Parts: sequence; structure tokens; C-alpha cells
Amino acid sequence: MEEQMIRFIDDEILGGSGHGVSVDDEIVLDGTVDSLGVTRLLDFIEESLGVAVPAEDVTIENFQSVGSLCAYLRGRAEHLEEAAS
Amino acid sequence: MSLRSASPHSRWTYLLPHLVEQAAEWDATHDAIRHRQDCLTYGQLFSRSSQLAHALIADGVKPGERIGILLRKGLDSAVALYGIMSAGAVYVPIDPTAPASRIAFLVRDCGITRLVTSDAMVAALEGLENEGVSLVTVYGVSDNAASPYPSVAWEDMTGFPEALPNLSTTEQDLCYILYTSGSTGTPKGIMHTHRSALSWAEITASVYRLGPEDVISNYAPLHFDLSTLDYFGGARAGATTVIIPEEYTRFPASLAKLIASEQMTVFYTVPFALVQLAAPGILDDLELDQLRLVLFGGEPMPVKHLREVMEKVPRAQFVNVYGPTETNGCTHYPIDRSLLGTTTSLPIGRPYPNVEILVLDDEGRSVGVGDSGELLVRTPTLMRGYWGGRDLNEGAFHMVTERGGLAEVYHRTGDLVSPMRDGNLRFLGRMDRQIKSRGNRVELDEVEAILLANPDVHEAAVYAVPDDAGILEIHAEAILTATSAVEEKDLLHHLRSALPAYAVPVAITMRTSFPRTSTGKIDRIAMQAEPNATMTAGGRR
Repeated sequence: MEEQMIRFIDDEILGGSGHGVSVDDEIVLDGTVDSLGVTRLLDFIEESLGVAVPAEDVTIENFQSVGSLCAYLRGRAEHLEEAAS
Repeated sequence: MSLRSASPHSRWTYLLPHLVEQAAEWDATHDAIRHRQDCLTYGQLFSRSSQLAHALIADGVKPGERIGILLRKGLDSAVALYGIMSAGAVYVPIDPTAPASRIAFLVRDCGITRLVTSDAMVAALEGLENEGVSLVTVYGVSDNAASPYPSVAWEDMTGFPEALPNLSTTEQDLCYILYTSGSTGTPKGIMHTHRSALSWAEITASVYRLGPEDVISNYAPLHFDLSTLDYFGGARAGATTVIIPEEYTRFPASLAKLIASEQMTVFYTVPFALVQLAAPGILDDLELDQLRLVLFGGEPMPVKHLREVMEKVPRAQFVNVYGPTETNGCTHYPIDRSLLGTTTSLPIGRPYPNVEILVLDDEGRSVGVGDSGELLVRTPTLMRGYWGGRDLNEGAFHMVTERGGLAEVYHRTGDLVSPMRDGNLRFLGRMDRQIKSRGNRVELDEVEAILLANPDVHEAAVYAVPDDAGILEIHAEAILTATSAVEEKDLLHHLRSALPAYAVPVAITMRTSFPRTSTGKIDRIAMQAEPNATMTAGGRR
């Protein structure tokens, strides 16, 4: 999941011109992901990973790095599975 | 302490730095500015800004000199703006995220040779050096930060006096210049005096009953005029201003929690932020009883979303604030909750106290209820003029001879309004092609010119369309040259290198032809009426 997300950020958000992000880079604080970037990231997560992120979970803590975002998404998937069973 | 007066301002205040001096005399330990975990009391803000002022004067700064502020939002911004003004100089806030070419233009246009900046901005300083910009000194940069320009660190200023320098500055002198984009395609600097800014601080502190117990948000960056109410209205009242870190403006759920945890009592923002906060789940389960006043301005607010957000903050008074940067503020509309159900568009209200308005048609005659005309304003909060542009000033100001044959100066806002039966004004739009998108002023013709400057672009058209929420989005369409193989992302990259992020279109649609008017001109109005259905970005929520 991390690799997929990094590829999306590098290719689509940084337009291939970027330096390449790593798992722990502070993508929110360093400005890599701007407001439009957040929207595109959410679309990507919904379309490619099949997870809809509720508005109240779109927080700085969850989006601060690729690592934190993937950790949140795994937790979210578990939560949804538990709720469904 | 029992001897202190009921108001922090019992003495004569005629310069903006006096606001901080007197708030510090009243209660030096009261929080003036907070940012993340950090805080400056009024005593600390007064000491540090005074030391900066002395350091600037010792370094040769002259009264009236323009000094740039190139900083991300933070406590140093507050020190910088008061320090610069305390030295009798004029602060010019610069968007720290702007491309180097735009910063270089602004620095040259305004004759800036010194900046207050930080170690984090050294890459931007290198960009300026590459643009051939020469600077005398940069302040707030440490010795080991490898600045391309001579630097003075904050530590070097601690030996200077912690009191205002003796100056011959008067309230008629300039205190700041805010740059916007201009209708000729180049940004223009709007010059304000201590008097015009102080008048705005006095009007807002009085009308909104700001007091020392208030905690006021600072949502807007310094180069955006909303920030003057946050800083100067707040200091006039001896209140606490909480700087909202930039990334919170991208994460409404985090912003909502910050409003609650910082116990903000006054939140001043742009409509776009309120639209985001209105989304389901964002404001639920938060303790917001302390929030008494929600001010918003900069562009029209969609009523549908306003209703949603007002339902979630039932105790706050919501106010639509209107006024071009040239005037600080003109009119406001405190919203009557009982009337909101029937309204489709929000009035901009009535003039503030001490502000007079006229609505004139093309012939210069006052228009009646229901008719439309240009809004003209006479106010003590009015700018001195545009930096370096005498010809522009002639269009911005208009003399009206009425009472006793005396000619009075009005500002032509360029905004179309209509007087309503109940005495409020309705906003109809800009008279030219200048728009506001998410609170930022954008010249559509400037964006078009830059897109057209790309050698692969044959023709270009840029226009604004309200999205689902009623917020104006910038769209572009392009006809490429016959041999070109560029893609949308290449053109967006081209625009991003020359424009601030908010002025870059959300999408560029490639076409083989444009709709035309009968005279052969590109018909942008037809494009606006039928925005391309394939556009993807920005439509969420």
C-alpha cells in the first residue's frame, strides 16, 4: 500500500518533477500535499484502495506522512470488517 | 492592578505600535499571540518588536522605507510587522509560497532592500539571488543558515532597548502595503496609513465589542487583508490572537478541533472555510459554546452551506463582512437567524459607523431600490493610493461635490451592488474580470495571458464557474498549436511556475475551437454557462 501511494504522490501530485517522497516524509508540513493534493489523494484512496474516508478522519494526524496514512487506512479497514461481521 | 482602567486604551493612540505598547502597560502578562505550543505576551511582543525596530534603525533603515516580510505564519510575523512599523518603516508581506519570479517582481517594484525572514526561507532567498535581486540585509536568519545575503539573527537584537524609538512618524505616514494582482496584469501595492489601519481596528473593536477576554483567530496569511482585523482589532482590544497554522486550512476536521481547544471566541475566515466546516461530522461533538462571533468575507458565501454551519454553531452571531482591500472594510451584514430560511443570496449589509456610501449609475446618478450601480465609499479606513501608480489612483478615487460645495474623496470599488428595500445592499459582482476565488483576488486576464505565453498554446480562455458549493473555481480552455503534443499537466506546470497556487485553474480543457461572439471574440460567457463536463478536480463535496 505504501509503495502504491508513494507512486501516486510522485507521479500525479508532484507531476514526476518531484524529488520522490519516502514513508516518513512530513508531506503535509512540507507542502508536498496542498489542498488540491488532499482532494486528489482522497479520490485515489477511494478509487484504487476502495476506502471512503469520512470527513472527520481527514485530519493532519492521519495525513501527515504516507506511513501514518497507511496505518490509518489499515485501522479503518479492520474497523469496517468488525462492524460488518 | 486594581488601579487599571476599564479599557487598555485610555491614552492617545495614533500609530499602530501604540496599540501593543498600551496593551503591554495594561497587562504585560496577557497572551497577545499564540501559535502551536508557543506564545508571546503583550510584554514580550512589545519588547521584541521594539528591539527589532532599534536594530533596523541602527542598520540604517529610514522612515518610510519598505521592508518585506517573507515568513510562514508564526510568532515572528507579529514581531516583524510591529517592529518594522515601530522603526517608522512600512511592512510589505510577501506570500512565502509564491514563485521566485513573483517575489522578485514585488521586491523590485516596491524598492525593497531588506527582508525579515527565517532560516526556513533560505531556499527562497537563493531563488531571489538567482533572479538577480540584491538585498542589503535579511533579518531573523542565523549565522550558520548559509544565507546568500548579509544577515542579522534574532539573538543579535537582544541588546537593543525594549521601548519604542523616538520617531517623527505621524498617523498620515504609511504603515503597510498589501499587493494584489492588477488589471494590467501586474500586481499592484495597496498603501495604507497608520490612520486608515487604526480606524479599521477601532471600528471593528467597537462594533464587535472585542475585549481582553476574546480569543481571535488569525486564519488568513499576512499578505491577505483579513489579517489586519485579527492583529490590529485584537491588539486594540488587548485580546489574544491565535495564529492558525497553514496546514490546518487544508484539514477542516483539524481546524474545527483547534477552534474548540483554543477556546476561540471570534473566528474570522473566508466562505470556503465555512463550506468545508459545514461537511457532515466536522463540527459535531465539539464544545463550541465559547464561539460568539463568526465573521466571513472576501467573496460571496453560499447561503445553503451557511445555514448548515449556523445550525451547528447555534450560539454564535454570524456576520458577512464586505470591503475591498483598498478600504479595509465598508459594510457588514449581521445575520438574523429568523430571516435566513427565506434568503437565497446574502446581502453585504449596511455601512459601518463613520463610513458613507453611494451607489451610482453610469451617468453618476444615485440609483434607487432594486436598480444596480457601482459602489463608492467614503471612509477613514481608505488607502492612501496604489504604490507608484498615479494613473491608477485617478481611477480608484472619485471626487463628489455635495454638501456646501465641498468636494469629498470617494473610492470607486468597481463592484456592482443594488440597494434593497430594507436599506441593505446586495452584491452583484465585479465590474471587470477580476474575481475572488477562495478569498484570493485573481485577474482572469492575467492567468489567460500567462497560459497564452506558452509556445504550445494557440489560443486560451480563462473563466470562473461556481462549483456545487457556489465557490468560484477557475477553469481554462486551450487550443494547441498544430504540431504540439503537450498535455494538461504540462500546461498546469507552466502556470504553477508563474502564478500563486490559488490563481492556477483547477483544470485545462483542450479544444479544437472556441465559441465566438458575433464580432469574432472568444465567448467566455458561453463557456461559463456550459463548463466542460469532463472536469474532475476540485468538485469533491
